[in-house]
Amino acid sequence: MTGTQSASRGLTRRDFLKVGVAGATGLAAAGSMTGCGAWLGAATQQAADEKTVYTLHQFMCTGRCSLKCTVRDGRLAMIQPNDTVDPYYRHVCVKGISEIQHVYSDERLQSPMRRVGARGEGSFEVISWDEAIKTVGDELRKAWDKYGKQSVYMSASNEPRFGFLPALLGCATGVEPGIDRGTGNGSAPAIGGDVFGGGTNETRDWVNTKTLVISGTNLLESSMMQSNTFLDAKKAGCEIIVLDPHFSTTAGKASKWIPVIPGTDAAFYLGMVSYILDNKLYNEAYMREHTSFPFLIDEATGKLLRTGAAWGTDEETGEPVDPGDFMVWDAAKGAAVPYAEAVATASLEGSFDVDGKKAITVLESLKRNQRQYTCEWAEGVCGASAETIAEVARKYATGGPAYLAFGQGGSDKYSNPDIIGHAGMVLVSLTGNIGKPGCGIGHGIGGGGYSVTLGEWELPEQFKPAELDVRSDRFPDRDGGVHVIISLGNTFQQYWANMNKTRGWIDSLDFIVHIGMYYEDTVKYADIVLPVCSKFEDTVEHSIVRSDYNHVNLQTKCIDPLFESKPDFDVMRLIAEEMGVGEYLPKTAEELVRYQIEHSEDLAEQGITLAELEKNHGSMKMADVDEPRRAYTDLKFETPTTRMEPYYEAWKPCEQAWPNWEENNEAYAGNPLAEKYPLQFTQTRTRFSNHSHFKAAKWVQQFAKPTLELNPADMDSRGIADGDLVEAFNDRGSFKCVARANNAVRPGSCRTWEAGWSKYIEEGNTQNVTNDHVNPRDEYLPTGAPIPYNDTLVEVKKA
Amino acid sequence: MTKLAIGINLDRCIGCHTCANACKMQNNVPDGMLWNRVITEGCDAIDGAVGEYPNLTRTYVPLACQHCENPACLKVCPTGATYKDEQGRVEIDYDRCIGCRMCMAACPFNARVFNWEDPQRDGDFNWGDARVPVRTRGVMEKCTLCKERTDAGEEPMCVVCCPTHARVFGDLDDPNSELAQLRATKGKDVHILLEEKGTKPQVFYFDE
Amino acid sequence: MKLSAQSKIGVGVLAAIMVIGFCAYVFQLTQGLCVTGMSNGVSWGLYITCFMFFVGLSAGGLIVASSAHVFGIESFKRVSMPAVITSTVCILCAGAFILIDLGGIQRIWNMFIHLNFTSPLAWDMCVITTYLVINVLDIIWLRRGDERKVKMLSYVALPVAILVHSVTAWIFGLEIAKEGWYSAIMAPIFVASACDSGLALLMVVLAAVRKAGVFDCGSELFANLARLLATFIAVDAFFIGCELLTTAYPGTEGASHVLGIMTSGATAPFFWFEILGGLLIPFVLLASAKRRERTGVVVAASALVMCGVFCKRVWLLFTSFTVTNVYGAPGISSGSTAARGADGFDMWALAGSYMPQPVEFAVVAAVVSFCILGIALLSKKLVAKA
Repeated sequence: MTGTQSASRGLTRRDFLKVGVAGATGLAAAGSMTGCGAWLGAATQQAADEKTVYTLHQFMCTGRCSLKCTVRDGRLAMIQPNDTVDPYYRHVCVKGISEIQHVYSDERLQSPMRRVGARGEGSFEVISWDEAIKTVGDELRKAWDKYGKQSVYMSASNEPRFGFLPALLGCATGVEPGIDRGTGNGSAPAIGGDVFGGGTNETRDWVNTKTLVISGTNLLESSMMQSNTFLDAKKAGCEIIVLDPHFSTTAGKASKWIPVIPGTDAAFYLGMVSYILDNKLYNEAYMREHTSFPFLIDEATGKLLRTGAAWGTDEETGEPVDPGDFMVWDAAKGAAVPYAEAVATASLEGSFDVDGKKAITVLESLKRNQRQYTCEWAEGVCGASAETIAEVARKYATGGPAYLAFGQGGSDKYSNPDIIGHAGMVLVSLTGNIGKPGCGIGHGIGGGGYSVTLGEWELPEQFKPAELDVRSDRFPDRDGGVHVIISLGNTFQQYWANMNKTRGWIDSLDFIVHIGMYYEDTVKYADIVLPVCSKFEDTVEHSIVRSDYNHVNLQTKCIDPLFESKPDFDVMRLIAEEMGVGEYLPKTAEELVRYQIEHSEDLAEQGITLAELEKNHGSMKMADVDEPRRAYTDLKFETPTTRMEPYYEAWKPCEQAWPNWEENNEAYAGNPLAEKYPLQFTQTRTRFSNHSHFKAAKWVQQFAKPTLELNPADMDSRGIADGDLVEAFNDRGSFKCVARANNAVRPGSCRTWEAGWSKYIEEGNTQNVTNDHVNPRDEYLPTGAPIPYNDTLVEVKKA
Repeated sequence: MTKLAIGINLDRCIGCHTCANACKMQNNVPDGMLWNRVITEGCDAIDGAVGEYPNLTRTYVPLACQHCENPACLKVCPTGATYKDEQGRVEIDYDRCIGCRMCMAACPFNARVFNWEDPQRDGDFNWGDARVPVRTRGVMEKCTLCKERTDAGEEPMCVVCCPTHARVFGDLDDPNSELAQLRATKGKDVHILLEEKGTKPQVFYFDE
Repeated sequence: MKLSAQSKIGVGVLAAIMVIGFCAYVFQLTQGLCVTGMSNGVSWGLYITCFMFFVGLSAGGLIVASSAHVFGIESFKRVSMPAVITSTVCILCAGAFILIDLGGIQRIWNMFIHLNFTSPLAWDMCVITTYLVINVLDIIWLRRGDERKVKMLSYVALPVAILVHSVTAWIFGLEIAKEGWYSAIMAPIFVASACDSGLALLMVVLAAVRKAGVFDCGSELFANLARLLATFIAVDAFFIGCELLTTAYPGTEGASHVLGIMTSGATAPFFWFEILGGLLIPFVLLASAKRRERTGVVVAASALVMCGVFCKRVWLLFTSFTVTNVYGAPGISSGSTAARGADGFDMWALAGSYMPQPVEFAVVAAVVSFCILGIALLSKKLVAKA
């Protein structure tokens, strides 16, 4: 796995250092002049010990890079793409390379620490691991005794990963559900898909797409390692249309950029739906056979007609009543029949009398509902012209294979993005743009390729995570009974909007243990801080095996853990041991890796073993992945009828059985609050960080300084010049940072990067101003209402 | 003759700056300078745009030594420290550089960087390829076309690391090379930076 | 050599400045050029400005002195010695500035074993060395009163004096990279500036040695030289006018940018001082025969001319440094972190900027002190009382 190669010799760095230090202190000017270091020309490096290690990079960015690392004198010296990987999948990014410095950063948490000042003040004392773990144990036991196990909550962010701990401790957990599921919430019910709205086809399939509509994501930055699928598609002739309020990197590389008013993507789609309906551009055969469009709706109640009784419980038997099949109108028979009996002859349109009830088809219902959403109406809401909407609709419906790509970090972070997902599914249902090469819907994060199932280390049955009634981002408002937080990564900064309110809740907590790599914002609220190391550092040879984008990748240790830090697995085990449940965990991460590999049927089938992985430089391509992954090719969906079901009957009470336009909570035209706070504030995702991670990487900081970007017109009217210190504020709070003029920013908006560290801006915290509104539709949505960070209005003034 | 060069596909460049850091890493480039950087052309802000919203355009231009056929820097170097090698690369003999910065003023591309002080590296460590000479204070440096790698038949690190495969490395004098063919067949889609300066850059840019 | 108490104080002050400057230079040697305000964007600064300026001052003196012999202008011959002295001391200073500006002076021997003859800097080294030798020989032969040798030497000295300044001009004028430099008229402009600033310096020196009672060239000659100075100013202004017209006329984007910076941007104060204070006002002052007879006016005009030419060096050098041919963010890396406290994104500059640092001022002050002291002492020792 690792090879050693020698390198040429010369002057050592230490000699240079001596000279440099002497010079810098100004003490030994003469010494510097007599020392030969600076006086000689160039020298080659001395490399006493150099080895190459093939490993993988952290997972959260979904880039899933397999890396070739050069370790010299026990230090990371180079990070390159793994050159044994197929060139198509061979990559690394600006962040990956920056690990050369980032791993050794001054911002690393170096030792376990205990808080000595007030929460948020940032005063700590260094303590031993023994003492730190004992304190964590004591506090957990105290909470268990006082409130019960469910009073502990583990909030998980980027790194580290503590998969087994919630079950072992019986605590609740979440990679917070208020994030990233906004659009997926609305798209998932139609196909029974995942709540993240994962793309139905792999993005490699975009080369077969003719019209690719991307909205709500700057994927050339946030999914940078999948950029080739975008660029290859464009080269292959795909017309890529990007909806974005800003002229994003992705918009700049697209065939067409359609600027839209922030948070109005749904209106654009609703306009498209109307155009397709009005011009009969829909695919009737597909609709009849594979969707619920022919189903009959009771016009009075909005409920779908069934062959059986209404849903409920049989009074006699106490068993649930089977409501029976959905009904369609068989045009041949002139009668309502179960849908399976009239696949080809079901009427798509019309109003019928069924057993004295007035019934209409689902399509008829949609048509009636869509009357209010003309292209002209959409133009008024989203700002794109009716002609543009019509043109995109025509291309989407009739221009060959078409794909609707959503994303995360943009329009999904308003109060109502489920409407986008839902409207998207209506478009797919009408056109049948799914299950075929180049056709699909959903986000392309991570590429959405094939994966294998790894062996699952099972914990005994008694170990289960707790379930809470209250979602964690609501804790500041509603008592969830949680008194202890185990925080993994920069959670408070990333998951809670309206920071000033959040701080009040943080102060009320009994105990917070922060486990992370870097001195991020969350650290300063912790009572105990435990430092974990990067994935390059380890105590065992291999601690991760991962199924990554058509590959199986293996992590390999490059260097020993730096400072006093420990690998996340080791820390998790220490806590488990302290709580008396350590015996249920693998002894080491490597044991877990071996278990996952040895107990995987998929791997066994493909002959992939640990030895094979090591032999193949830590990365093996899975079998049969040459054709891009395509879901639903049989057009059978994971719904009760196996058809696409764009009509959400269950959402009738909240008026979203069909996607119905709803203004955003704060950022909408005509909001009186806009008189005070006229600028929409957005926190975009950027190539320069993976959420909070890499904010401290100096090699990335070369290109990335957190600023508040504004359109020059908005700056002029406020007397703000490029580089001025400005304050952004609203009733929730404020923060100060440097203003940057950028024509790419939509007038009336301002933007900064998501998950910023407050230490890198002049004052305050970007989450001080963000909106924590909860959409009343909360209970209907699969994962609840999204946190509407970008649905925020502010004013900006010169500070 | 050999004439090594890089062709950069501007349609594939997404402005990610990976090539800048790849170069920094490979060549042990000190902090505060880069041999290779990505310019958002005509903009005051990275990822800015030219024009008025919503009529906007944006071009990313990765910029490093253009390895000119007629290098302005070479002529003005008083000690011959800058030279054109047999591979067609413009190189610097660090031992000869007297730090007069004639070449820096002569380069139309601002491709050169100078060691104004003892090289500073966060972590006080010489990262990168051990074959790359460590430069000292008072010498000029710039893209070497990864001399140490290309001498060994490897591609330059920016080419290896470019996540969108926007960079093509090769020999312009080898008509069978991908690079020479691109240059020959792309016609008006080939762009030479500051062609009017007459330095005849070997590095070129092209559209898909 | 006896010195008055006043002179002793003067010498003491100058010597002290020189000591401080020397220390500053040693500091610069130990730290690198990061102690200056220069960066990758503006890679030449006050040192090179002074180099250009002193070459000019020097060339002007020798041009006057050798013209006297070449063209047989008898009256001028009286000021040959002071002229050659200023010329010699100034060229020493100019050479010093080049060496001071080198980042790798410890590798200077490469200039001797690997000299690249296509480099204007190589020409400069040769021509300055030749020029210095000529100056020294001139002093020796003038001192010995060897009129024949002086005359023969003058035939060589005059073209070399013109050449030394042309070569300096070519360091800039041949750089195609810089819009504001790349111009055929750069050498004539440099020569014209050399003539007026060099003669101006000579006027000031002559006034000073007269005041000090060392040497009096006589009012008539002084007035005549002043008239010559007025002519030189006019020629200089003419060349500058030519250059500006040629730059501005086609109205190209690059040229407009350069002119904008010069006339209303960062270097505008220097440009307008040169035009008004360095050319117009001194010309008006010296245009009248009556005013030329008043030493105070002539000295003031001369001082203005020198300041003007210095300002011209400034705008000429820096205007072009503030323009980047491939413009766009993030710009040019400064190249120095510790020196400018630049970390992360602050390492970049969209346009070059420069502010001389204390070390540079100290070093320049020391060289100027050396210049004054050198001229004073050599004048006292070598210039015969008239």
